[in-house]
Amino acid sequence: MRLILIILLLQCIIIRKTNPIQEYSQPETLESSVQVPIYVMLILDKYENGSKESRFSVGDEARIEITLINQFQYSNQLLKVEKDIEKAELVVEIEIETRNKNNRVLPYITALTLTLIPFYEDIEIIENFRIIKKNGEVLFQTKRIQKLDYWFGLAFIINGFIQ
Amino acid sequence: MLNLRKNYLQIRLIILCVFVFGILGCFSFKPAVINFKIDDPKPVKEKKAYHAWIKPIIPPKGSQFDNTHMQATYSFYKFVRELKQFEKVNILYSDKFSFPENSIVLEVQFSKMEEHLKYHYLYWPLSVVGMGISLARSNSILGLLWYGIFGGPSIVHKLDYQGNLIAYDSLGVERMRVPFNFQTEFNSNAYYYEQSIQANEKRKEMFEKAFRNLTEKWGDK
Repeated sequence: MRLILIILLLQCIIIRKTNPIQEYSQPETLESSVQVPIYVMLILDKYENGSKESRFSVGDEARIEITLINQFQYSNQLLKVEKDIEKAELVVEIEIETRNKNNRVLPYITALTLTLIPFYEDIEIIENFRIIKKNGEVLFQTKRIQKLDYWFGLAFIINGFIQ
Repeated sequence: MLNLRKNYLQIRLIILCVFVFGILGCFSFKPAVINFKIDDPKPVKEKKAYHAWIKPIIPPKGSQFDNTHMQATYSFYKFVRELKQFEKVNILYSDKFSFPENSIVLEVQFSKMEEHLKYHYLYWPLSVVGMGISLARSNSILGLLWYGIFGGPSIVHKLDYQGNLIAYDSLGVERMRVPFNFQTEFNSNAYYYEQSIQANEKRKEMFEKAFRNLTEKWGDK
């Protein structure tokens, strides 16, 4: 029992904790709103230890796309969104890569030790945003990267309860 | 007491059904929905001073295709981009303009695009036996988890792709046609080595091979 308490205490002290939801210092904005019809292409890629997964379901992708399109329209920056690529004049490419790095054996150790040894992974989210003409000319592009880490263990559950 | 006995019989019946249907699932492949993604390739050393254009991929009729063809096209575009063989890579959204002189238009034509899966023949017997032992010894179902931890295969996945990788020049004249005929089968496990990761890697292998053939023939011309 003492050992368990010491491990829990050590977990709380040693492990650094970051805010899982980080906010960007400043959102990117276009100089002027785009009036011509656009076609939105959203690509979500998830990498697990360097290999690409197909975890995002079509439903997820569609839901995120709808949310993004709504955001464009409410921000008055990209107004006309076309579903048919033939009718669109510009293409908006949004590429979101989530790269997770973890130890492959750690989830089992975490489960078998009843989360006393915490599971952790480094997460890197890379977002590419490009507005291009159909002939490939890039009109606007921006890239942002954020690094996070995710921890799961009994110490954090207890910590969460206390907070 | 009677109710308990009734419940016990029902549980036994369910386990028997799972066992029978599970074993039956080991014998026949069923068509799988294709989520067409390609793993990133290793960049090549030899670079070409070309501007590559990727034509949209159109899957053959009848293929069970999960994502839209534009997303599949984007996946192929990313593969070519990460190959770092060309100076510039773009998707050909519209062919109503004249290409620059150093252009090369790449098209993937699939004549067959099928994926099938079935249960591995060891999955049900070993996982159910493992579960039974763990239930008897420790009253838990960790046996199934142990089967996963030690990499016991659960699903057999079969890929069957046939088609051509075609390269056109800036005038739209076909310069090269590399046929590919890719059939492979692999085991996967829900906990340890995932089916989608393996399938993406196999597709990467297929396109790397096709590109190697294309580059070799390119040198001859």
